[in-house]
Amino acid sequence: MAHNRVLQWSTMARTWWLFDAQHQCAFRSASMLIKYLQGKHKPIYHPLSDVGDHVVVINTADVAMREDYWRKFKYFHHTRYPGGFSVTSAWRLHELDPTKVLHKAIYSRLPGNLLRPNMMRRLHLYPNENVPTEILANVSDQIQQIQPIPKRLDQYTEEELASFPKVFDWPEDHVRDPGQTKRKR
Amino acid sequence: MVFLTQVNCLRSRGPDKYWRKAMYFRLSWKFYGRKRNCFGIAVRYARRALRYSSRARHQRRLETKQASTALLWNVRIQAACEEHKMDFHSFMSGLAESDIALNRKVLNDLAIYEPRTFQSLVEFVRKRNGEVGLMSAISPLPKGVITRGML
Repeated sequence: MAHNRVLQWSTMARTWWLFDAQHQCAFRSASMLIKYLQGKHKPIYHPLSDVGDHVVVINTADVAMREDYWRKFKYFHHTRYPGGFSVTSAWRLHELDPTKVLHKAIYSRLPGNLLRPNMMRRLHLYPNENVPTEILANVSDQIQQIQPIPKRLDQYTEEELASFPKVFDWPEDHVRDPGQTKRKR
Repeated sequence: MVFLTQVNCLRSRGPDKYWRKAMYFRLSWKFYGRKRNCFGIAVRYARRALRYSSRARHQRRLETKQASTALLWNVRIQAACEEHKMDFHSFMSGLAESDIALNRKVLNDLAIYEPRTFQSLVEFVRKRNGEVGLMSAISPLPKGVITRGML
């Protein structure tokens, strides 16, 4: 066949994937994204051949964590000098750099061999939707999100709210003034 | 090279020490400490590194041939299944229960070199798995699949 050569090019070419991290669990997304960075989603995968793809992640500032892991999950560091130990909460690290949580989650899940730095170079993390045009121009496909994004009450239209079935109306005085309920600590 | 004195002519004979050393220093450029720049130490470590690398080459071939091959087949078939939105375990069990005697090596080769054949296998298993359960009554029929129940 005349186009065998082209088939081979498109088999071996690196695809650029887009992943929207909006309201997605950082740890579970990381476990899913390393598959694309390693090339384990391709039938031609081999651990010694570098067949991984590029992954562009947007909205990393809006990643989610279950329960109160933002407070509970800790990142430990030691400078190897006496007294050089430090602990950082996930929310604090996220405040300093909104791409860092996902970066560390993916880095720690990749195998610790000599291919890891190059795989990390093929990961492009952006805190919001402002991606450079030269990066976005390469993207040809998107990765499906791992969990559905919950819809807030104010995002429903008036019609949907009106048509939602309900058995009875709450009394007018059922909802107290929020200002009154605020407790002092 | 033209030497005007006898002494220089004598000196220039024999093996070229500089180039012999340079040959080993080219191998030891990434070593740490005196292993890198002191020739007597560098040459020992460079030779050992060469021994290690040739041994590792054989080991790597053995490992890829024996231990990790079965795992690699699994990973590759799994990847090929996911391309068609198919679960690996239901695919393998579906094939086995339909008496399609294809082992992982063959499935692996099909997934790489004959992706359309592999896709047809996936379509078959999907249809067959749909027939087994209660969903068969309402599921739509994929194109190009003829089963025994239709005849």
